[in-house]
Amino acid sequence: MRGKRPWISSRRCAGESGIFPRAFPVHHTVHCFFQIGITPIISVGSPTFIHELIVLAGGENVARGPTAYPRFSQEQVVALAPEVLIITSMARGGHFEEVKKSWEKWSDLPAVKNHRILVVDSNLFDRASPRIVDALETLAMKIHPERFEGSP
Amino acid sequence: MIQNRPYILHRLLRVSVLFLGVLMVAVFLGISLGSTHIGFKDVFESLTGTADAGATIQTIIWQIRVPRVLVAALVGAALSVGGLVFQALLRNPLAEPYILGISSGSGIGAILGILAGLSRFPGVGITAFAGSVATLLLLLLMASGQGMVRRNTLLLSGVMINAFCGALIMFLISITHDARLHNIIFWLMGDLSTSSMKNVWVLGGILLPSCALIFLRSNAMNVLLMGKEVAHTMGIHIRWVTGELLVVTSLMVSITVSQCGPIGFVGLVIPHLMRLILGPDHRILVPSCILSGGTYMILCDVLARTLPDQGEMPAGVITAMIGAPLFIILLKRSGR
Repeated sequence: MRGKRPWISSRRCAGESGIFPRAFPVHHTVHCFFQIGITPIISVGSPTFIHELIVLAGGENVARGPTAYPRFSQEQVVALAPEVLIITSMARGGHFEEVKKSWEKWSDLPAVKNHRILVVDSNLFDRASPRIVDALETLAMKIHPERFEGSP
Repeated sequence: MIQNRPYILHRLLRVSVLFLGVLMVAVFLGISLGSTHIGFKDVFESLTGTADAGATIQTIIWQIRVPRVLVAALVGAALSVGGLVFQALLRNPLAEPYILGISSGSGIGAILGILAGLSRFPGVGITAFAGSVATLLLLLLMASGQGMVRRNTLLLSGVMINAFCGALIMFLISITHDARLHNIIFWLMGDLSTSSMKNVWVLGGILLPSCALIFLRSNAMNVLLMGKEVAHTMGIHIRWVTGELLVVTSLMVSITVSQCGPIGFVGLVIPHLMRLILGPDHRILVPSCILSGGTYMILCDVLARTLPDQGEMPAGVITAMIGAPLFIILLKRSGR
């Protein structure tokens, strides 16, 4: 899971329909916080495939670090000031909209100000299957919507 | 009684001012310390409004830490007064809502309320209250022989009720796939991390009047401790006062459980400490337990926030780690 990225090259990476040419170069890397656990708040550190997805999609993972799946407190997330907050959950059928609402009370958070709290399909994001490429595409679209304007 | 009134008032004032001062220090510490580092100077400036500390620091202080510290203070006050009342009424120094299973009883009520789709307040609060009253009645029924609540029977019954309620809670969690219970494990350990100003209003609105009522009954508790006959001759309506105090205490416990989960042993540690320092007079003990219970809970929560190098842990873990060994020590001492 951690080494090269064969699944990407095997599908769309190099093709003209690939997402890399569109996602890169980007004007700035967007600070992302990717939440996989709700109580306690758990995010993704550097040695994870989701971290690689964020980087590939032109984002910067504010939770990066040596711990694979670090825990956070609410105030730590507020202090990190992510521009985009992405919620997926290991708990299937969780009440993501409620979680989203609970973040929306921090009106000073850049992600809240710009209405960029995103709930994503955990079936795509939570396992490193071939469909992870779809996850990457979704993520790139959500992080850099401006790069995808005009495309179908 | 009448003659020592000015003395009591004077002492009450001194004790209250002292413990209020300690509580204020704890509140300031609770607002200053946490998983993100904010300097004392910034905190002070933000609290007094003398300088603009920046939006992020303002949010962390005013929207995360201040409500959390206030909730901790209210919960600690309620739980320690609850313990004090239980110890006086049941005449057992080891009685405490958590140990006697009242907290788990209201936990069952709360979980059933959550599963029934009720709102956190008042819905879940009411089911939690029903659960705690039911367990209290069951406990008194089990432990009372000829109207007298016996000492070890009470504790054993309480521990067993606690175990049974714990099993029931685990059963409810294991059969449900309801996503509303996804954060239940943290809640079961007694968690203050989701506190908001809404919790403060709910808790304050119920707990402060209850504490005031208990303070008004503190002299009655003194007399009750002298024995039933004495209390009767001094004009105390024993059944009425006992029932009233037990119901009010159950209400306080169930409200804290419905908001923050069952937090244990606070009602054991603080009343014992206060009795050690201040003696057995409940007119002094009730206010001092309210103030120092709040202090204790805030400090435990500060430890829960700062000890782990990642994230936070539930405050109930800390109170249990301090309280359970103390319970064993007290049990050993009382057996001698």
